[in-house]
Amino acid sequence: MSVMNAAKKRWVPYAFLSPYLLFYLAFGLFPIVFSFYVSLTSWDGIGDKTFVGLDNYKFLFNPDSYFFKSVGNTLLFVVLTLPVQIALGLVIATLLYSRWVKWRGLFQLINFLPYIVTPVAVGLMFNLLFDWQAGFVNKVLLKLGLVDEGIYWLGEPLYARMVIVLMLIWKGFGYTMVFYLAGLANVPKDLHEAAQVDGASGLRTFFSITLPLLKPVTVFIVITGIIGGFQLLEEPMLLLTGSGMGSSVAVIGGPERCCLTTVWNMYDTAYGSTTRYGLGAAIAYGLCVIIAVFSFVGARFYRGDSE
Amino acid sequence: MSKSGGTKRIVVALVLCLLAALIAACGGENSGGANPSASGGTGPNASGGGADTGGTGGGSGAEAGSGGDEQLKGEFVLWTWEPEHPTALAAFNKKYPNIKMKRVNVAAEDVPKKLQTTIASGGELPDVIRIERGQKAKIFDMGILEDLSAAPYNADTSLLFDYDIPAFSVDGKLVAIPDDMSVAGLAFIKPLAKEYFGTDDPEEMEKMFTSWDVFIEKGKEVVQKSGGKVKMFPSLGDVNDILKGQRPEPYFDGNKLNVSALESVLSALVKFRDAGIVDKLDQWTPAWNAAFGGDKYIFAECPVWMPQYVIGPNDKKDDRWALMVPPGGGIVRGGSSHGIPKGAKNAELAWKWIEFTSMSQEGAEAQKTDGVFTHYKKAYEDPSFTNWTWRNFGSQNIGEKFFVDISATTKDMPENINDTYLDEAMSIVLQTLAKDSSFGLEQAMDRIKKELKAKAPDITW
Repeated sequence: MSVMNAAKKRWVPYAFLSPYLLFYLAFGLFPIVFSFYVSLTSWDGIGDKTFVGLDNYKFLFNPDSYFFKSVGNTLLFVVLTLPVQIALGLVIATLLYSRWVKWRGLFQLINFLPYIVTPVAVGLMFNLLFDWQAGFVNKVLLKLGLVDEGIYWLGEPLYARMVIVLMLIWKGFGYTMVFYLAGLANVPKDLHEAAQVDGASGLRTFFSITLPLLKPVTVFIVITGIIGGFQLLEEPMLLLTGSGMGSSVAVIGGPERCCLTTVWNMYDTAYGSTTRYGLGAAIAYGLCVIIAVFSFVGARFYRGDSE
Repeated sequence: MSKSGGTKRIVVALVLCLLAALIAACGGENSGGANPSASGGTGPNASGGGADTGGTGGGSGAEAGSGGDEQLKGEFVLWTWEPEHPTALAAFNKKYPNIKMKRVNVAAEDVPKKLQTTIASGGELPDVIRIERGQKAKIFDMGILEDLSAAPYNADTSLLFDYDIPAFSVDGKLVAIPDDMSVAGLAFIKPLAKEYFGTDDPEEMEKMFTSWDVFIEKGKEVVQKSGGKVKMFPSLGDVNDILKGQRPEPYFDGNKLNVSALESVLSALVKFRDAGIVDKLDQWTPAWNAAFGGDKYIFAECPVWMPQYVIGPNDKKDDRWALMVPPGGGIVRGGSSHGIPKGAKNAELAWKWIEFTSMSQEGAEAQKTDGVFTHYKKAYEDPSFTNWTWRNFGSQNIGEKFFVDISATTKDMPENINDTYLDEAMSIVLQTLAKDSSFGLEQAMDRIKKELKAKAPDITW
């Protein structure tokens, strides 16, 4: 009887887990292993795969490859966007949490709305706003007499990057705001009251009590922001190539490839202007390593913080 | 103990069932000759009815126009982004009442991607695919299309225009049949031409603009006279389309870049830019579209589809435009073709449809009603067929201009996959040329080499 029970105990969990495990093997583990194998080959998706060893990985370090340029572009966007998103989200959350703001729910919703707009729509919307000749922004600037000729927003590397940073900030600050609102709700009220009794000003209370207690939220936002930032694709892609149609060729990565993100580079290599699946897979693994490093560092921070 | 064994067996059976279901789901429709290499040399078979169609499979285009054929039965699958051509389909069904067409909507730019994923996953390929010119080289390079000049199709290439054959062939094999005419000429705004050149007559304009050098000189005069308000073209991309279309040799011989051909186009582009006769608009942007309704640019490249799809919607005024043969002759711009993937199950049915719509008089007439001019050369021998006017061009017979005058001077070049990489590099170069006046031929060549090295390391020059 006990032997039978032991057997049952051994098998039953596996039986219950098997649907997930099988799905994981088919749609999780197999693609991971297969894409690693593909990264060691030269393959266009149709012909035979030719084993090339680490050549694709070597090419990532070749000065002709766009891998490090695209990583640099992505990092630049993260570095320029994330601090502003955090600051803006924190300020708005603090204002909304204060007693001065009425209709808190409404403002919360209004500020959060950009985050739920689909990236494709965001890209196209900014494309229309910043169009060189027909864009709303240039029309306003010209009407106000601030410029003599429309600014070539999406044709100059510096301006194109500025537009992307602005777009990402606009889209993302609502997300950080929601986290800070949740964080603020967890800050004990008695600490604020005690500070008030001790004569601390509102600003002092914010910097000495609220901000330090929100550190776990900030660390979480930074880690997820970096990981999310490295996956940036649709917004810049639609912004810079959205208006093209038919057989017209849009510039991949924007002017001078200044906005080519790592995922865009991977997509373009494997499925876009070239069909180098092997190199595309190698870029994906390169990106995976970078994200893993940032996640590892972030996790250390997070752990250190909670300890 | 036996009960334990029973439990074990049940668990194993359950797991195996799940695994089998999963594998079955992943396998998809793997039956049939989906493997592109599987039936390279075999003839297509009509499905349903089991009709022996070996004898009719080799019919030429001339045969396609004659009486109906009820023996051919079945359904073929077409990947296309085009809306249905009702007249052409009705005419086809009159001739082949038992052949049905199933349209699967695939965006033009997604066709190569969808082909690749279908092949990689072992899925079933369609019987015929519509191929947009921008994707042509990529799809041709996949090596998945049937040779339509060989048995059982035996396409009669004499039915098409001479310039079609090299453009739709790979290694001497005709792999697609062009569908819509896409020869391009030069359209101009008549009031502007009258004001700056003293004439708005297309023939007189053709005599005046004998070469691009003359064109540039005249352009400088226009810019000077108008105080810079009027220019010749809205975008350097338009100029590149024309100059590229007129290049005397292909850009690539295999992986070898024809440097002199590319340099000659680039140096002409630099000349155009330096003369200040071309504006900086990007093609296909709202501003570029709006330019057709304005009076800032005298000329526009004008493929067959342009009056209907670009000029018409953007210019509400009638009788403002005229069409002429460009200096250096006509070019091919855009357009689509049809190809049959190797291993297509109902290839013969698909071929009958291609043959009827693109290589027969009946098909040409029906397609014309649907707004498409086919590449069936013979149809254009009849002046009443080429008769085509469009409100923006007033009473000018633009059909005759396109299909007789421009077509007679048109050339087309074969392209391979490397041309798509070059096109992408050129788009960067064009953007930089337009905005940076110090960017010259040398820098443009360096930039192109750098881009090509990154995209296709096998290219040599």
